[in-house]
Formats: sequence, structure tokens, C-alpha cells
Amino acid sequence: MVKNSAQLYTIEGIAAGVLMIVTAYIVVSTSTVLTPQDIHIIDMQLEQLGHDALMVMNTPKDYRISSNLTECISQNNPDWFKSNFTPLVRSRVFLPDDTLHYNVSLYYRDGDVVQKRDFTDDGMPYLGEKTVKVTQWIRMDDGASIPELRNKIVLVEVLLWRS
Amino acid sequence: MPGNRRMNHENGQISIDFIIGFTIFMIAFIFVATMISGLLINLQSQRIDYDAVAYRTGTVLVEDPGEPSEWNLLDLTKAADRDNLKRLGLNVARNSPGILRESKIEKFFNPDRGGCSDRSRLCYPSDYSQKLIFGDYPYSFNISMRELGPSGRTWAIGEIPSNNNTGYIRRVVSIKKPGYADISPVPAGSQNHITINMKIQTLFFPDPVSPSIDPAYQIDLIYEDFWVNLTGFSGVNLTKKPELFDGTTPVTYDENYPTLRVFIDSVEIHEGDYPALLTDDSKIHFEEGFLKSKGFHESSELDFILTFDQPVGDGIALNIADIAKRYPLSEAIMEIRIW
Repeated sequence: MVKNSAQLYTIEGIAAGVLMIVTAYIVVSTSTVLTPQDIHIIDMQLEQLGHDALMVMNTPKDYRISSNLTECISQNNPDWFKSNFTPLVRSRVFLPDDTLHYNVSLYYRDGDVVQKRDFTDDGMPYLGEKTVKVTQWIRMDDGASIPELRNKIVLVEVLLWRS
Repeated sequence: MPGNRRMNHENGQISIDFIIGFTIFMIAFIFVATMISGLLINLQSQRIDYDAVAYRTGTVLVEDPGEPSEWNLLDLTKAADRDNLKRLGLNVARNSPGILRESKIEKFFNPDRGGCSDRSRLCYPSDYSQKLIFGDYPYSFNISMRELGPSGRTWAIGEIPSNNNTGYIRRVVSIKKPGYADISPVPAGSQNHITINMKIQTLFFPDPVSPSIDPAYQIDLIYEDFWVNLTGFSGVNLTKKPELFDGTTPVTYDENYPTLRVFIDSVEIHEGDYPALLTDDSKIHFEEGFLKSKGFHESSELDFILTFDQPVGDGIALNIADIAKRYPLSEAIMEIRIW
């Protein structure tokens, strides 16, 4: 025997279910809209900082001399790079230094193949943190210490992350 | 029981009242929910807005020379010059991003903070909100800078942030300092004067076939300060204020900024103080914009003559391009907070 009352309860149940799903959807969508924007801003700040630091290193300090970036790679001197780059990315005006880490790779063409060469890092292993990538082009002359880089255009790539 | 049977059939259906009521409720609910989520985004995005303003402010300061580009030479006591100042940028030139002019930094971080009665300086905070931060919203700000290296000079302007909900950007920049020249007595000199031939063009073009020097490295007598350091003249008197000639026409000096000033041990020497006994700390200061205010430009050629009471020169004029020097660019950190 079919009862009438149960049918109305079923409709209410479905309506309540729809209501809950819609509510859950709105709540979830509200929170997920915000998070990527915040992360994007933090990425942008880090990327801008890294770009600035690398560009300052790639700016000659005086007329008709090479930039520090060009010189330390030409002389294959990672310690020189670190002593220049680390204060640029970590220093703050009044607060203690920031906790940023980086590693540096060089890319250059060898015939038709793009070769990668690890140059240096700050000693902190990369453990899958969210990184940003900043790059600068430099030109090596035939006096470069690393034979493969001689007379090449080299892309200096820095991966930067916050611990 | 026909009536009962008919009622039983209808009980299984959704009533039209329920459908209408439910529809109205859902529309109202979705409408309200949409508005609330929008409201939440607005509340939450305040920080993002601050970050965007901080980013824009950093870009204007670091990558833009301002409007006009040599705003540091404006005489802000004149209403017309003050009106002419549209934007505060610290950059040397538009095509040298990240390289800041030191005199702009000094003017930017040293405004009149006491009600803007000193009309020769920028007015804090109104000039900063109108010509740097922009927008109708009354943003608070804090901008600070520190030169890396041994000098460690710091500059700061703005309020102390009251909480952590501030927009933030940190920039790394280079600072270009003004040029200078060192002059020393010639051994066994025969002349009581030293002449410097200032063919200004030679400072911009190192030789006739080269392109002009990048503005980041130019020794710019027209738009920047220039210092002449007198070294090794201790015990020698400077008999009169150094003279500047445009051909044979003497250039007159004004009392007020910008002009040419002589300092011995950091004390300014005025017209009545000559002859002035020089020490190892003796300097002549061409204030930025001095030559420009006299109508000189990149193609001008001047003679700068110093007269002493002893024979210290050999009579051969020094070329400004041979003796002018530049400091290497220094590095600095700039932080901007907006809230």
C-alpha cells in the first residue's frame, strides 16, 4: 500500500540536498577564488625582487667595464656570484635578512642542442618549495674560463624560493 | 469514495504553491549568496589592492625619472614650477631602469614635514599622495631605502605601519652619484692660476665616433652636482672666488640656489672672505642646475679659472674630460609599504 505523506518528505529531502550542495559550492568557490590571487601576489613580489637583483648584478658599475654577473661566470667563480647576489635578495632596510634561497643554472646552445650547466646554489637543498624563475642574458667572450661557454650567449637562470 | 480517491491522487504531486515558493526562495537565496561572496571578495582583496598600489609606486620610483624628468631642478618656491611637477620618479633616465639619481633621492626623502611652510622642498604628505601614490583613497605609506656596502646610508619617509595588513614590494636598485674632479698643484709651477677648459660635450661623447655615454654613467654638469676637490693646496690662498668665462664674458654668480660655492673644512667661503687659506678639505661645488640656470647646455664651452697667491700651475689648461671622474654605481634596497 502506497502512502501519500512519504512523497512530500522525499521532495523536501531532495530540495534540502540541492540547497546544501549549492551552499557548499558557493562556500568552496568563494574561498578558492581568493587563495590563488594571494599566491600570485607573493609570486610577483619574489619574481620582481629576483629580477631586480639579477639585473643590478648584470649592470656594469662603471663605464666600459663588464658587469659582475658577466665577470663571475666568465671566471667560473661561484663564490663571487654568491657574495654579490645573496645580499641583494636577502637584505631588508631595517629588518633582519630575509630567508630566501636560490640555485643558478646556465643555458647555452651547443650546435642544435640547448645545454644546461649547474653553476651554484646557496647551500640549501631544494625540497619542492614553490619557486619563481628569473633570467638574464649575458655574452661570453673567448676569455671565459669554461671552454664550452666561450663566445656564446648564455642564459643565466636563477630559481628562487622562500623557506 | 470518489472524493477520497481524488484527494489521494493529488497528494502525490508537488503543489503549485510549493513550486512557486521554492523557486522564489532559490532565486532569492542565489541572489543573496552571490552578493555575499562578492562582498567577501571585496573584503579579502583589500590586501591585494594595497599590494597593487605598492607595486605601482615601486615601479614609478624605480623605473620612471618623473615628470618632468629633471624635476629635481625645479624651483619649488615658484608656483609655476610646483604646478609643473606632475610625478615623482627617482630614475636617472627612462631607458636606464633601476638606476636612481642621488640628488633625486635626497630631495625625495627630505621634504618639509612641518606644515609645508618651506616652499623650496616637497610637501609631506600631500605631494607624495598626489604625485606618487595617486588615487582618491587616502593611502598611508612608508618608503625606506638602505645603501648596501660600507656607507650603509638609510632614508625613510612616511608613517610607521600600525599592523601587518600592508601592501609590500621590495626593489633592488643602483644609485648614481654626481661626478667630481681632483686638482693638485703642479710641481715647480710658474703660474698663479689654474684653468679648466669645460667643453661639456666631451663628457657626453668620449670621442667623435662613439655614441653618447649611457645616462647612467654620464658626468653631467648641466643636470647634476659637480665637485672640484682641491688637494695638496694646504697653506695656499685662494685669492678670489673662482671665475667662469663664456668665451671672454664672465658668468655672474647668484646668491641663491643653484649657484657655485666654495667650501673650506665644510664652511662656505663668501665674497668678503677672500683671500681664503686652503686646507686639505677644500672643495668647489657646482650646484645641480647652476649651469642650466645660466643658459648653458651640452654644447657649451666654458673656462673655469682659479687664482692663487702662489705659483701652482704651469699655464696649460686642463680639459674637463681628462680630470672629471665618476663614482661606481652603488647598490641599495628599497622597501615600500602601503595601507
